[in-house]
Amino acid sequence: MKKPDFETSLEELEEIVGQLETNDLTLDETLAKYESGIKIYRQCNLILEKAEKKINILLKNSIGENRTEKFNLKKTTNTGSSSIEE
Amino acid sequence: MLDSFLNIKTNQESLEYFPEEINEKFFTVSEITREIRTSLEHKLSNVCVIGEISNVRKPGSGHVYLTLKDKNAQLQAVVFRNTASRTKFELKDGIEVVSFGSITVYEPRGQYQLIINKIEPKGIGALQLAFQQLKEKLEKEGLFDHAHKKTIPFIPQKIGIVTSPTGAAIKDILNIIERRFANVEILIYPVRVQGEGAAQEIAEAISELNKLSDIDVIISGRGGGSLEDLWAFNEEIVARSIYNSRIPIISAVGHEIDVTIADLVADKRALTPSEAGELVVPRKDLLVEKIEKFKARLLQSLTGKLRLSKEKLVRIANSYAMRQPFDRLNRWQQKLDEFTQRLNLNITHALYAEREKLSGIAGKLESLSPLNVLKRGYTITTRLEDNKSLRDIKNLSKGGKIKTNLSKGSVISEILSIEKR
Repeated sequence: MKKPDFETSLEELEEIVGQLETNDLTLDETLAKYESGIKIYRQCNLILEKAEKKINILLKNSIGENRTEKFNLKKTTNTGSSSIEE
Repeated sequence: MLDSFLNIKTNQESLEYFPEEINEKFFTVSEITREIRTSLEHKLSNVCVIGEISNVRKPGSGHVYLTLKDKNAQLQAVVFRNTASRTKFELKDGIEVVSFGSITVYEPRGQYQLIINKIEPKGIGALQLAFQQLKEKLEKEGLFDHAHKKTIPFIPQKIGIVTSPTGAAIKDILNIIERRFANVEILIYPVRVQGEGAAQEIAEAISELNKLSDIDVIISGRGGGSLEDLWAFNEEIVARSIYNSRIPIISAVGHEIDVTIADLVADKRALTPSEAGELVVPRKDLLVEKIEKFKARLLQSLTGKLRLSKEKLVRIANSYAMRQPFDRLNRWQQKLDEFTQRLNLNITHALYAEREKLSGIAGKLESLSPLNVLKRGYTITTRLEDNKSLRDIKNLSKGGKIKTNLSKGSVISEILSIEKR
């Protein structure tokens, strides 16, 4: 695993907040915890915002090469896929 | 015709005794065989035979040879390749079947056999039987094993969807994803989801998506329908492609009641396409709310702590102790220096960076800095030689030089005498 995932980060964040709120830390420790808490908060935010909204459909051209095109629900696509459901 | 053939046969034993009774012509073997063939094929084309399958042979040609039997008789039968490939369930010994076909005679061997054009299990649908057979087989092979199932990522960045681009399923899936976690990338791999060749397309789509490096999870499925409609998702080729997928797969076929083989092999089964949308992404709004709450609590704890520390410092600065001799003053000044330094540093790093408006606190702390204490008339005295601040008369001697730090500037003096108190 390269980067901590969202769930792990969230757990860490919760733990840090818990520690800060027990209030028996020195000022130094408080600042250090705050800093690492904010760091994790930012990481979480990053994970949530990282992906861009994009809906594409994969199409094959006449020689079987793939290309993608923006998918539009209304439009019928020219893939030759003509399934009839329900 | 058949009757006459049978008559000839019964009379054969008496042939040599009563040759004169044979008034018909003599046959060669070929001729009689052809005669038999013509009469049998004429009379017994398009028959329906009920029996139990036994002695199944499947050579490389793709044709299937078998024997149909009941208590008292056996019938050789053949299912040619085309028919065999259309037969959904596996032809196995012991299965009671209803077979449709025609009797033919294989002249080189003088054998008659039933050519089967259509074969159905008796008492149960062919698809149902096929489903049961494949389920049993794949289960034995371990394709449904829990240990093989991959975890669906909590927040996927890119989702592959294998389904019909015009069906009900894609609409449902996209709607739900849009509602729960709109900023996610989706790649639709269009396939036919029913009819001849659909299973091949689905299997190929899954393995093609596995060649892309950035797909985190795949949804494969379609809306509800009859067992025939859903059949592609019960085909072995689809099951195997799902099993071999490196990328976790959510299977979403039809309505809740329709369990398919694909559902059983997939890493997760969604009861409907809509549910697949719910399983594939979490609700972003709830997650945002959660982390923002944590952030607020972080800030609250920090400001609380800072306020307490400041109050403590103010109390100390104003206390009787602060008016006590220099040793205590120096000690507290050092502490103050330290705190101020750390606070300033950390406020710059942590707070300013977060654009939290805590600079006011830094300003207030400023008023407590040692400089201000000096302004109030207190001084800090250090030994000149090593610039160590003085807390008592230890290590001082007459004639030694000391430096007194005042608010604006300092004084260097020589010790004239040392008085113990």
